[in-house]
Order: sequence, then C-alpha cells, then structure tokens
Amino acid sequence: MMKNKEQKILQDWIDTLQGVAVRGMDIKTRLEARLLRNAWIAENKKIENEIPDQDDAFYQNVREAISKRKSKQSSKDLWSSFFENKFKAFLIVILGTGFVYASKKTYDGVVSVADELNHIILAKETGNKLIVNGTNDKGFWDEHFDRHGGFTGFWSRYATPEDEKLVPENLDDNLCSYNATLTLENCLALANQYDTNARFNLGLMYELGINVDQNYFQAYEWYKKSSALGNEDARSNMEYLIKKGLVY
Amino acid sequence: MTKEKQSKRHQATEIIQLFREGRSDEALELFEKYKLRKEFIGFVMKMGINYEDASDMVQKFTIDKLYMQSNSIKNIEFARTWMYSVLTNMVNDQGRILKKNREVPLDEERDQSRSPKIMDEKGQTRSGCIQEQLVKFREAEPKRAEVIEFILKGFSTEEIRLILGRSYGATREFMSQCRKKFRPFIEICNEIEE
Repeated sequence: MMKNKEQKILQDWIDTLQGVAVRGMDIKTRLEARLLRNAWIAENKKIENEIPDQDDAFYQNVREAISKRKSKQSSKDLWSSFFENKFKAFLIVILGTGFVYASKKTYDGVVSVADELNHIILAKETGNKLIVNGTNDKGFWDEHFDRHGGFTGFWSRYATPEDEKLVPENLDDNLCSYNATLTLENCLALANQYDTNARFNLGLMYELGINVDQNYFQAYEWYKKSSALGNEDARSNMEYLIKKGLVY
Repeated sequence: MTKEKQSKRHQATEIIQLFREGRSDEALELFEKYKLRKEFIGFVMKMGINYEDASDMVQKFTIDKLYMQSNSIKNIEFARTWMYSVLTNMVNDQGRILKKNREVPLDEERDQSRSPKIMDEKGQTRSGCIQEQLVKFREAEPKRAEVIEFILKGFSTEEIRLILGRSYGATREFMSQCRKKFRPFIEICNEIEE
C-alpha cells in the first residue's frame, strides 16, 4: 500500500515535470515539480540564447569529414564485405578458381590458333655445309691435331688447313635449302651431319609431299629429330601435326 | 504519449534512417531543420561544458556516432534514446578527462559542494534561486541530474531505463531517489517570495 502510494507520487511528479496536468496530486510535490520545470525552461532559454541559430562552419566541417570517411570506407568495404561472411568468401574463391581455369582453357585455345598460324611451310636454308666423304662433327683429336698427328693448337677450329677442306663445287644451292629444289638425298646427307635445318626440311618434305610421298609420321619423326637439336620451328610444326590430328 | 514526444522520436528515427541509407546530406539538412544541433549543444552545455567545447563534441558525435555507427542501432524506434545515451557517455568521458587534469579539492570543500547552496543574496527570485540550485545539483549529483534532465525532456521510464542500462524497477527506484535528493535543494528557495 505504502509502496503504491510512493509510486503514485513519483508518477505524478514525473508527469508534472513533463507538463502534464495531474488531478488530486500532493500539493507540495506539485509545487516542487512545477518550480523545477519552470526553472528548467528558463535555463533552457538562457542557454539557447548563447547558442547561435546558424553555424555554417559546423555543417561544413561535418560534411567534409563525412566525405573523407566515405572515400576511406569505400576502399575498405571490399575487403570487409569479403571476410564478413565465410560462406560468401568460400563461394567467391570457388567461382574465382573456376573463372581462372576457364580463362586458361580459353587462353590455350587462343594459343593453339596462334600456333596454327605459325605453321612454317618454307624450307630453311642449310648453308653450304654439305661435306662429301667427311663429317663436320669432329672430336677432340680431329679438332686439335692434323691427319698426320701433328698438334695444330686451338686455332685449328677457326682456320682449317686448305687441303682438309672438302666443299661442294656448287655453293649457290646445296639442294636442301629451298622448297623448289629440295632433294631427299642431299637433305638426308646433311641431316646425318646433325644439321637441324636439314632435318626440319626433311620433315617439311614428308609433310607437304615435296619430291617424296606425303607421310605425316615420317614428317613428325624428322621434326622431332630437328627439335631435339633445339629447332623451335620444328617443335611448332610438330605441335601443329598433333593438334590437327594428322599424327597420333 | 504527447504529440511533441512522438514527433521528436520520429525526427531522430528519420535522421538515422537517412544516415543508414547513405543519404548523409539529406540527414544533415533534417538535423539542421529540427534544430538538433542546438538541442544537443544545449544538453552538453548544461553538463558544465562551454559552448566551443560543446560544439566540437556535438560535431564529433555527428560524424563518429550518427554517421559511422548508425547501423549499430538495434531498434531504430529508440534512435533518440540512443543519441542521448551516446552523447551522455561522451560527456562523461570528457568529464573524466577534465577531472584528471583538475586538482582534487580538500575533503571539507568537497563536502560543501555536495550540499545545497545557502542563499544569502537579497532580492533574488525563487525561479532564479532554483536555477542556481539546479546547477549546484548537477555538480553534486551529475548522474541524478541527468535523469531529471531526461524526465524534463519528456523521455519515458522505458527510454530512461535504456539509457541507464538498468531494469525497469531499478530505474523507477533511481528516479525516486533523484526526486528525494533534489528536494533539499528546492526547500532552500521556498522561503523566497515571488
């Protein structure tokens, strides 16, 4: 009962402070509440007079600060949103991986087209290195000693004695340099001397059927031999044969 | 609930909603239109902070709290309550900093500051006397003075409960204590005739 009475007094006091007219209220409490309310209103007015109605600098500062924060936030948002939800992040990673894989496949496709365009059909010049009755591939002994067993020194590699030179008479065409004059014998002879271009030309002869019956497998084999000696074009033509399905 | 209370609640909700949607320019226009700057600065000044500091504090509050933390409000209906709660905390933090830098008064002086001021000036009105006592009460009992301020501003017990972070019963009890504590401050002015 006592508690209820106290609660009523408190509620009446609160209502009066908030400007609500309360009937049947304790006179002393009402007076206190009204005095307090009036003092508060007067104080409010006094303080309001001290504050200017307009303060452009205030809003300008706030707007500037907000725009700065916005620009900072936008750069942060990407990362924070990425790590916000683990499932989302996982999904993005999976999709990203798929995209990269698909791109790689497409890229490979593009590369294969480029390779196709790189298919070389011109014979390569083999130079005038055709050596009849001899070999270019000299060992250490042949390189530094003459045929009589005399030491020639290291200069022998650059200056071969005149009598040891075995060169063909026709220097213009060794019959293994141009599509029109490719011959199997000459190219085979050069190929056996480890001439990478001659091996390439042999591959080309078999691939295109120049002076021989067309045989992709033979062509592939000669390209392979040429590529083993470091011929990039032979490797390119080899890939071409594989991708075209001409060899398997 | 009176219409005035409702409209103030609605204004605060509207502003927070705009900040949440990223329409900060419109939110600031409403902030100006509803005179919230003046209201908040006035509130801070009543806590014993001068105009310049109060203006800075409200500016900081608008940027750091209203704009940056508008998404953290769980119940947007209580946006106004949230605003005052945050602002009160900011003022208290500032008060703590000021207190640290201030010299601690002697026990005797401290006791004197916690009791009502005895009126010795002749010709003072009762209203003026109560205004002075109100200032005195704020210095002596800042937490209780805050609650009286919220009541006078028209906050409901539920809203004050949210600001204080107490249960409903504890809040009612605290409000009752505020009334009792303030009574001696008013009684001094009762002898003055209007």
